[in-house]
Amino acid sequence: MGFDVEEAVRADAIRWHIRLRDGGDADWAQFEAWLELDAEHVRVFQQVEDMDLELEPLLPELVFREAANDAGEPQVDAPRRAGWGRWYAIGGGALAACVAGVLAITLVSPSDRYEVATSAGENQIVTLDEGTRITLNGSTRMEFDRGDPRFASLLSGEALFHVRHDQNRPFRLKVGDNEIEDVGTVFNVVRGRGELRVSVAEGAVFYRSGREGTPLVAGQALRTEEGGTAIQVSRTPVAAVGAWQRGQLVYLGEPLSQVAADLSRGLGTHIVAAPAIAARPFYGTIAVEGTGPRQIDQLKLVLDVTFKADGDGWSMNPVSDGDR
Amino acid sequence: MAGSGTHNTIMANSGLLEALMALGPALLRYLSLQGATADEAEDILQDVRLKVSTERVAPVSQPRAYLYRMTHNHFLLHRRAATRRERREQDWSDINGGDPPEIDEEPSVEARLVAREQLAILQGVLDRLPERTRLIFRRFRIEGLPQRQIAAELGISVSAVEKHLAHAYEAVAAMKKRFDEGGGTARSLKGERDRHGV
Repeated sequence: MGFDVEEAVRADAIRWHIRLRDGGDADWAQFEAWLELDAEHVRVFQQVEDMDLELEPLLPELVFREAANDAGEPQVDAPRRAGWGRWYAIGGGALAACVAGVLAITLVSPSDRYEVATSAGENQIVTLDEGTRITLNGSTRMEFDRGDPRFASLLSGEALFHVRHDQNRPFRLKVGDNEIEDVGTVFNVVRGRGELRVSVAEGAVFYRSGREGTPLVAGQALRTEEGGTAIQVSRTPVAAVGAWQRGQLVYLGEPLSQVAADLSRGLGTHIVAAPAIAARPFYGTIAVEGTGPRQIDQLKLVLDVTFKADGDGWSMNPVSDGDR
Repeated sequence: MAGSGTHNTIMANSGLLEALMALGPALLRYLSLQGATADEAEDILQDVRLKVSTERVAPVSQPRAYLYRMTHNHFLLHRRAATRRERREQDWSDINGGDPPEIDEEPSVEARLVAREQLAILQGVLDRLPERTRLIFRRFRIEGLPQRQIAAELGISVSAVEKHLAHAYEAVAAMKKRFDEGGGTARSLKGERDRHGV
């Protein structure tokens, strides 16, 4: 096989490899037809896939210099148009709509501290400085400081952090007695039900508890009990970090009790998992479209549970034969 | 991962299972096209059936594409497990003879050094890409965003996104080729870029 022919086949194989990742029915049909044309196509396509697989362990360590959080583009009068902000505007229509809906800003002390809280089902973006943006999920309370844009405290709930890194003044998030310090970062933090979970999508953070410090890099997640000392670090797909702000909840075997807590924040409806199924692992992605009980019908299929109205919310229960 | 933006049609697992039954012969043909033997293909399809019938999945709007993707992923798992097994058996019998012991997947110091070297080279390839191409590669491969979303973010067409990605992957492929051949051959990255200029 000539050099140019081989190059052309490789170019085709690369295109297919890229297209198929999110490919639709028609793409797969065309791809199959292309494979069928020549055994060489099969061989080269597999080479391309293997090559991409070999990249996997290297990816978390790559440095991308145009990182949005390095404050690359100077923005004078419209900071929101830079990198991530633009992504919000397009990727999170519902979110953008929520920006105006400030629920509660209360002065808590004579100092410059102030609290921002969201109600269930509502998201809110807080911009601390150009390039540092915090997205609060529903049912979340945070505290900020007007005099110090590098400070934030998560009182309860969940938030996604896009932080501009400044080596001289690192951004610090206080979570109870513990502290998370950014090292150039996109990360998500959940605090509630006595536990703390941190996951990193980009860059790295440093988690500090007392005198102990734990570095976390992109693709890693940490879980710890509030007030406890044991720390579990696991892998997490970076695409799943903060996926809630795109209306997606991504699970790799997390218990239904956690799914219920996430849904409560996302849907604005109180949901608990019955003890019988609270520990059952769930795998899959849930797309949250609206808020309120309309979602319930769709959810019961996906989660394989039934819902019962329970006070002002819902409880998730196992499916019995009568329900099928 | 299903569900991004395509949650109009809800297909419960029973629906997906039916679609899988109907697609069975087509999927077997696809697997044999990819080089699987008849037995392997049957095993792989069985794994897919098991997965579809035991695990809850998010709503799926294009079941055919979803099942092809899943089948393909299982095929890859199969193929890679087989490759690893072969390599282990080979390494073991070269040194010791006889059957290999149970797996030790912990990378050796040598493997880690090679990985450092590969990382430095890959970093160099990415640094030489045009900034926009690099951003798109990062959105797609590191952050896992779908092409549609990247196109929307940048205000360009999906096919333009695909071109940027193809360019990035071709640069990586050219690098790998040189790396595998021991460093010094023919085409420079610049040549690649000119040919597939985005």
